[in-house]
Amino acid sequence: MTASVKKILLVEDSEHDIELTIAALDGHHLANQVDVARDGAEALDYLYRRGAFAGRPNGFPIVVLLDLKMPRMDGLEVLRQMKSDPELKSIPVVMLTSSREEQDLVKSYDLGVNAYVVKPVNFKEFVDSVKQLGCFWALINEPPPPPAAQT
Amino acid sequence: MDETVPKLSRGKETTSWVIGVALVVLICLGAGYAFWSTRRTLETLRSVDHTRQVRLELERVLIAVVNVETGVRGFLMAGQRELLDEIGPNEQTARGSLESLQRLLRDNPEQRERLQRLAPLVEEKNALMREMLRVHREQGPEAGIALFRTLKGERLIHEIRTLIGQMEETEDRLLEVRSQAAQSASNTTLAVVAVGSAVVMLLMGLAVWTVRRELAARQHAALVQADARAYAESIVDTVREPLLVLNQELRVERANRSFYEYFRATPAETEQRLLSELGDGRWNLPRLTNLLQEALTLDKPFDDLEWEHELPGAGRRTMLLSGCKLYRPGNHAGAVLLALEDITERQRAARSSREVQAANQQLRALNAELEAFSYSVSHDLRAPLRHIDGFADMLANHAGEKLDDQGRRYLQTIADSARRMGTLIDDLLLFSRMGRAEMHRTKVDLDALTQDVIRELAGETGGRKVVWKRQELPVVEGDPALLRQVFVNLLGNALKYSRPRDPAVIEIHCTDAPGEKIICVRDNGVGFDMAYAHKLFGVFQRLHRSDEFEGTGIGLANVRRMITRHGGRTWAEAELDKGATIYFSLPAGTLPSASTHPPTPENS
Repeated sequence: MTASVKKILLVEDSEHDIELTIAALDGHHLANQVDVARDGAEALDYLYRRGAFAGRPNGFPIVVLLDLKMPRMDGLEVLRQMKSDPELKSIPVVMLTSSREEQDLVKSYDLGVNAYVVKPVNFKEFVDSVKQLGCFWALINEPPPPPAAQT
Repeated sequence: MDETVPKLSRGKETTSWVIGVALVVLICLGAGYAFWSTRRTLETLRSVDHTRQVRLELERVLIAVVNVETGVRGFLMAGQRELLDEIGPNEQTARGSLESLQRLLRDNPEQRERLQRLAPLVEEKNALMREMLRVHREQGPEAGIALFRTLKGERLIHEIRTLIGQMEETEDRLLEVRSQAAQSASNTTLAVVAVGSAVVMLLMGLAVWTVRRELAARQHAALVQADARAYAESIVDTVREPLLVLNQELRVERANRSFYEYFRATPAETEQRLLSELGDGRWNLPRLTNLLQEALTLDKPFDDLEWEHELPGAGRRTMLLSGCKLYRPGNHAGAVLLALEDITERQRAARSSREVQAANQQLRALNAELEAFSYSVSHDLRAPLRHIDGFADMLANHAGEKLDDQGRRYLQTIADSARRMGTLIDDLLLFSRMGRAEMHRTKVDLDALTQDVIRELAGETGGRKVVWKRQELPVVEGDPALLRQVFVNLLGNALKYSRPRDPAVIEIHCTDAPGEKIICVRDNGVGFDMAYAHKLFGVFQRLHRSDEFEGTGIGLANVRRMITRHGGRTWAEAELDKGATIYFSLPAGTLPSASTHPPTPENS
């Protein structure tokens, strides 16, 4: 499983944002590493390998890029559940959202988010942000050891 | 005090009662003794008289006997016939005196016994004398004289004398004993009378002293009572609530000043009237009458009986009535105190407070709605803009080479417009947040704050020549972050609109006005036409084209909002091409507490 490709989980309900984000990551050839969940519930299915994701290969993503406002289950709820699960809590989570509302920032950090990035309206700035994010988490940051190694 | 005084005097009273009774008994005893003793003295006097009478009668008896003998002897011896006439009366006298003695001595057995012996002796003697006369008459004088010389008469008279002597002696002895007793009794009487008089004198003195003391005490008590009454009345009159004191019949005994003022009544039409008659029968309330009767008879107080009534000149009033029994010294019937409280204003205040609470509730709901709105603005409106910009950019990358200049310019305009709209949304959200954010009041040193802002802005002047003229600014009370934003906006504007000037001159002044401090920022920039000054502080209101000076027109709207939240005002003066002066004021001293909460949403 450590041999498997490092995955980035993008949790985003907007098709356009998914396309723009993947386009931005494409510049660093990270695009083929992106798995997409379309809302909070799907994101948890992915992480727990159940439902539509029951057959995916073992292993956790190196980072979760999480939108805040989504149908069914929002980003804060996903974050809360991840950080309260001993297996999932060490996965880095980055909020990638349009909201710069103070309450969202405060709640996210309270729940233990690892970074909070506001999506700029300007596409070039957006591409820069996503590229840096992808680089940092996929290439620079050393991910936590897999749960098997921990025990 | 009121309780201890009667107790004390009650104790004293008991003591003086005992003393009084004892004295009366004593005086009665003294008087009785004096009476008895006087009676004894009188008795003694009577017995002296008695003794004298007894002696007199005894002497008479003796003299009569002797006279009879002398008469008989004179006749016999010398033939004196006239002497015989004396015999009959003397015999009579002796008999009368003996009878008198019989009466006088009837309660003395010893003397009576002697008297019974005496009487026959006297009879015998007189009979002997008569015998001599008879013998003389029948047998001749010698025979009479012979009989006379037998000494029988001599012996009889001796016996009579002896008996009378004994009786006289007895009477004298009795008299002496009685006199002595009378003497001692009258001495004792004198002493008793003297002591009694002294006691009476003493008692009179004591009585006078007691009465005077009692009078003084009463006067003092009356003064104390008057004081207490005045004290109570001044309290009653000072109380703001109308008060009535009613007697058993629910007749007004007293009303306080507040009552007269409140009901516009006079003492003449109130005092001594039945409660039910007052104020054209407005008090004629069966429930109130019942409660008052209960308070009086069962000593059961009542509170807060609500009563609505029409008060002339003041409209409909709501009052709370309370009553309780009053205990007054010396009046067991008691009275009842009726206290009235007008709660109309309080009710009104409570009602308006409820209204304010409801309005607050509404405001909170509105605020929450606004929050939800700006949240979705920030999230939902920005996303499509990002997509427009993003896809325009991707289109440029993808088909850029196929497009001519015109096509590329269109794409650029799409991207620019999207970005500008993004900025507008961001500014709008900032403006909204300014109004909603909690204020954290503290002391703010405006001098240090402006220095800091100038230093920050100086980095963006791009080598322009700017002259800062800064007066020393005060320490004020306010939210440091908001006040900092005020200066960032004002000084930023001054820099922006003085861009064409070399050098740009920016001044900061502060002046004291009554109740507030006025701070102004003046520049020598392009200024504006005062005809549009009213638009200056509006949201997205601009007095210059954006190709002349960049910006969305939110800055001064934010300034006004932040200053308003501090309880201050904002205004501006300008002249086209000669610069602008923006003024704002901050209240001197502490901020009004109302400004700590977010104000109602406004459109300005």
